[in-house]
Amino acid sequence: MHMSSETVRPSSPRNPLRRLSVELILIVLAKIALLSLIGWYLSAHYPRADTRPAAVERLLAPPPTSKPESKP
Amino acid sequence: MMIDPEVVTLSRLQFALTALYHFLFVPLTLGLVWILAIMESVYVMTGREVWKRMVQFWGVLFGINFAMGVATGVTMEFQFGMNWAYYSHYVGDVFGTPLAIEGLMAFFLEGTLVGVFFMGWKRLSRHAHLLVTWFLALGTNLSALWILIANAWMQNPVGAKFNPQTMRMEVTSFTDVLFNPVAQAKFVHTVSAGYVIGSMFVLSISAWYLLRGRNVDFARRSMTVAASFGLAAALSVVVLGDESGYAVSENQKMKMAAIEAMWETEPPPASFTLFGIPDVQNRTTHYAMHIPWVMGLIGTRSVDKPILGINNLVEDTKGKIGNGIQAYDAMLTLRKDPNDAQAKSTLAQYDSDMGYALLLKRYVADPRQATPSDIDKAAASTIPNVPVLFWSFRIMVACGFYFIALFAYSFWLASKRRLDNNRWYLRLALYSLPLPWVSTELGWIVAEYGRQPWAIEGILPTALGVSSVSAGQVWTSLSGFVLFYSLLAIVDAVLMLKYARKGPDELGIWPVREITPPLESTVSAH
Repeated sequence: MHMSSETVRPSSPRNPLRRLSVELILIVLAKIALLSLIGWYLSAHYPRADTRPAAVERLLAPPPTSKPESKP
Repeated sequence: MMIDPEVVTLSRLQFALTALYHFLFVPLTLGLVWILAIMESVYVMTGREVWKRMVQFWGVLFGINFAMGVATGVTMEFQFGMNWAYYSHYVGDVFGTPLAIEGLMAFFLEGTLVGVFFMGWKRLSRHAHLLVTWFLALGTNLSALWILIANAWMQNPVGAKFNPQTMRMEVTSFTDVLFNPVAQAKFVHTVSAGYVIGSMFVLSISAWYLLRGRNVDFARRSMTVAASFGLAAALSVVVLGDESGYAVSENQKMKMAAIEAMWETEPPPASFTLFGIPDVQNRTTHYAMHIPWVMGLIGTRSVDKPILGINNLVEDTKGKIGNGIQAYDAMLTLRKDPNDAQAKSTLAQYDSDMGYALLLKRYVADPRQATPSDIDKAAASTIPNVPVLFWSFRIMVACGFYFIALFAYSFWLASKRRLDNNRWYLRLALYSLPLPWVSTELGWIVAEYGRQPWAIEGILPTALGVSSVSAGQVWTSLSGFVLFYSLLAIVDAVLMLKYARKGPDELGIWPVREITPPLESTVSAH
C-alpha cells in the first residue's frame, strides 16, 4: 500500500506532556485530600469501632445469658 | 452482640465496589508495563528511534492509568480497619503479613521506579533506563503476587491455626502461606489476564489510528507487538485459568458446584454444562446442554473421580457443623481451663470445622443450642448465588476464547503485513476494547461472590467479620467513596480519551506524521 507522508512538527507552543504531568500531580494530591476528608468526617462524626479483643470474644463466644443445658 | 444484616450487606457492597473499581486500573498497569519493556528492549537492541518513541507514547497512557489508579486500593486496606475490624483481629496476623510485604517491597519499588522511568530518559544511559523499565514491570507484578497470596489465603487458609487463648488465627508456617497452591494458580491467571488487557489496549487504540490514517507506521508496529504478546497472554489465561479451576475444585467444592449449577453428584467423569437456566428454588437446571467428560477432566484431572453436587455438599456441611459445635464447645472449655486434656484433644480433632459452628451465629446466639432446623438453615446458607456464578463464569470463558481468536487473527495479519487494510477487522479490534475488563471483573465476581458465606473459607463467616459500626456510618463512607470514585472515573476517561486522541503526533513524540487518506472515508466513498 502506497503512503504519502510529510514531516509535521507539533505547532502548539505549550508542551502538552508538561501540562499532563502537572494535571496528574494535582489529581493525586486531590485524591489524597478527598480520601483524608472522608476519613476525617467519619472519625469526627461517628463513634469508633470497638476493635478490642474482648469485643471479638463477645462476638464469637456465647452471651452470658445463654444456657447450654436448654438445648432441646 | 447482635449481627446487623444491613451493616454486613453494606460493608460487603462497599468492599466489592472499591475492589472492582480498583481492578479497572491494576490489570492495565500489569499488562502495559511488559509491553513497554518489550518495546524498549527492541529499542536498545536495534537502536531504532521509533521504538523509543513508542515506549514514550504508551508510557504517557501508562502514567495516566498509574496516577488515576494509585490510592484507589488504599481504601480497601482502610476498610479492613473501618468496616471489618473483627475480621482484621481474627485473621490479621496471617492476612496482614503479605499486605505489609506488598507495601514495603513491591509498591515502594514500583512507586520509585515509575518516577525514574518518566524522568530518566535524559539522565540515564539506554541500558540503565531499560533496567529501570524491567524492574518496574517486576515491581508491579510482585505487587500483584503479594496481594494474591493474601487473597488466596482467604480461599484456602493454609499455614495457620486457631489459638483459643488469643481467639484468633496465628501463622504456623509462613512457607505454606507463601506457596499456597491457590496463590500460585491465582497469580499466573490474574497477571496473564492483565497482559491480555494491556495488549487489547494497545491493539484497540492502534486500530483507531489506522482507521483514521494517522501514525500509520507507529500504530502498525504497536499492533504487531500487541498481537504477539496478546496471543501468548490469551492462550496463557485460558490454560492457567484451567489450573485455577482445578485448585477451586480441590479446595472450594461448593464454589465449583455452584459455577457448574451441578445440583446432584454425577457419576464420573462429570459433564460440563455449556448452557442452562439454573432454578434455585427447585434446585435444578433447565434446558441444560452438557459436554460429556469435560468437567471431570477439568475438575479432577481424571475420569474416575466424581465432582460433588450442591445437594450432597449441603449434607456434608451438616456433618461439619456437628463437628464444629464440638470444637466450639471445647474452645469455650479451654478458655476457662487451658489445661483440660479432653477439650484439647477434641479441639485438635475438630478445629478445622469450628468455622462451621460459627455459621450458626446468624440463627442462634450460642451454636451449642442450635436446633436441627438451625443446622439445616446454616448448611443451606453455604450455597452461593448459583445463577450469578453460572453466568459470570460462562461469559468470562467465552471472552477468553474470543481473545484467543482475535489475537491469533491479528498475529496472522501482522505476519502478512496486512494489519492496516482491513476495515472490519480494525473496527472489531477497536470495539473489543472493553471486553477484557468485563471478563476480569466477572472473574473476580466468580472468585469472591463464590466464596460466600465465608470471609475465610471454612474458618470465618463473612457476617462475623464486620465492625461494631452503625449502618449510617457505612452508608456515609459508601456514599463518599461512590461519589469520589465516580468523579475519578470521569476524570480518568476524559484524560485517557484526550491523550489517546491526541496521539503521538500531536504530543510531539512522533516526529513524522504520515498523511494517508483515512481508511473509513476511503471505504465509504466506494
